[in-house]
Amino acid sequence: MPSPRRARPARATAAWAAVAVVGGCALGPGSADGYEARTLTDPVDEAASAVATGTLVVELAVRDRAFATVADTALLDAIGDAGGAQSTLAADVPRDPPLVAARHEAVVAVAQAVAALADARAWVNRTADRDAAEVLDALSSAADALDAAVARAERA
Amino acid sequence: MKRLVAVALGILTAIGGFVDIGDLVTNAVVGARFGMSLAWVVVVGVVGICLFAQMSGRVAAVSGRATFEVIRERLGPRAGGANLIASFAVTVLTLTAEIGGIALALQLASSVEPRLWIPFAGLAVWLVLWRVKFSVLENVTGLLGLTLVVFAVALAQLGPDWGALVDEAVRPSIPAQEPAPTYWYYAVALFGAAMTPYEVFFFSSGAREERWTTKDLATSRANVLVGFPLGGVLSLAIAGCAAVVLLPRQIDVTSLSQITLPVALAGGKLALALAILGIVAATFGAALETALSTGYTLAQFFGWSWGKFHRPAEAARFHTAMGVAVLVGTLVLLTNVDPIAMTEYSVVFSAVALPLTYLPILLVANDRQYMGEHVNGRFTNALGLVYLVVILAASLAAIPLMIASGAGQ
Repeated sequence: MPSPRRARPARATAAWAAVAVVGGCALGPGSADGYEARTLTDPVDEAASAVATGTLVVELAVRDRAFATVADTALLDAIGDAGGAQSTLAADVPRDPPLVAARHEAVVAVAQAVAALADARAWVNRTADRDAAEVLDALSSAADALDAAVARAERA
Repeated sequence: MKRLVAVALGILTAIGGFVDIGDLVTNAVVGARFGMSLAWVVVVGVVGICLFAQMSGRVAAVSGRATFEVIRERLGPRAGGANLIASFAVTVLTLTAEIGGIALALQLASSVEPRLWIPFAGLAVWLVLWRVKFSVLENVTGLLGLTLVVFAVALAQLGPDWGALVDEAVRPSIPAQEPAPTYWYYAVALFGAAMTPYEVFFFSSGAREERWTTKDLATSRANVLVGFPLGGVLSLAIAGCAAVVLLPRQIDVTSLSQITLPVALAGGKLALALAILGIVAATFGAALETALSTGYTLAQFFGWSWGKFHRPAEAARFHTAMGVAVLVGTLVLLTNVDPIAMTEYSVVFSAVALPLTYLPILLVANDRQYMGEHVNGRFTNALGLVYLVVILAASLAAIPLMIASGAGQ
């Protein structure tokens, strides 16, 4: 049986650890409804960030200000981010009908973003049958669709 | 003249060696999300690392003992052992992030997937540690890391609204769309990135590697008090580039490639090439320093022969420890863990482990038995005590803030 004197530091450490965890949890978001909307808007924002990155990369490539390796890597990373957002949305099952409709719009918008980024990467690697203007248009349309999806999720 | 060259070289390597993957990623993430409203944390962190690096270098030069030798003597084997476990774990985590950073930087230059670069990066780090002299490995990577000054040049070329940037930096506020826990989480992360424990282990052990004595105290002071703040300016430039280019486009930084885009926008391919070279040098140099720090901490605590000034056969356990640490970091990265996420965790856990490193240094720097007439002056002690409070606050707040903010989500 451990002596009381030896048990005190271990008990104190355990108490502090519990305070740290509870303290962190206590500061977190509390509203269930707000949380549901955020489960839609967070991945859409992530996809929007990826599309914005893709747009910047294509603009740099058009102006010959970036190596093909950097452009390719940045677009691959952006595709990874948008793909991650797609997986998150696909796994989400909202309860309220307005959120269900918002989720469907978000899934479609993120899929459009993934396709636009993939086409941009193909263009950077000179394997696409599109030109720079078409690629930028596709990215712009994807960005608009994502904005609309966020607006709908926030209204839901 | 020779002394002047040595001082200049020391300052230049301190500037170039200041930035590592943690500074690169954290400053870019923060700049893209909060603008310059967390610049004050970089300033606080730089002053802190100057203070403690200068103290640890002075302790090593005067007492002839590096940090972990002092920790074991001063705290005893039990408390020192706990300190060793925590500091070693954080240093290995940082080493893993740095090797990942090397692979990501090489991907930028080659389009080859990072997982294919990781084994080569680990092998290269180990080979350099085994075969290359301490002064060469420190100076080459430090000087090549100076090319990161391209971020400062890029920021100037982007033609930002300097008034708005400076105003944001000197009158910081939490952006309306960001929760307070997230802001303070990134404040702790930036602080941890600026004051990672391995920097102190490396600086004090490096002082012993280079056989510093009291005659070298002025050089040590110049390296730290000139080199580190200028290195901090590079950190601010990285954040500034992200604030000017990525923030208006609502781009959240999740990859190393995004960090280089503002440089490409400002300076084209030449600037981009310099940035990639600088990132490779900075991450490679930091991987060497963190790997050396793993060897230093273990060897100094257990009383093994240590140091690059010994041949590998004369310090076999020291070299084996570093080799194992590099191998562990490499294997962890090969499990496909995200190096950027690993970097973000390493800087936060660095903040958690900070008090364990800095308290013993502060105690020894005040101990006349070790330091003689070179103990801390009143100003240094006052500042040291203020920083001890700041470090304790950051350490205690790090985990709750990580939970509350969802690791900055």
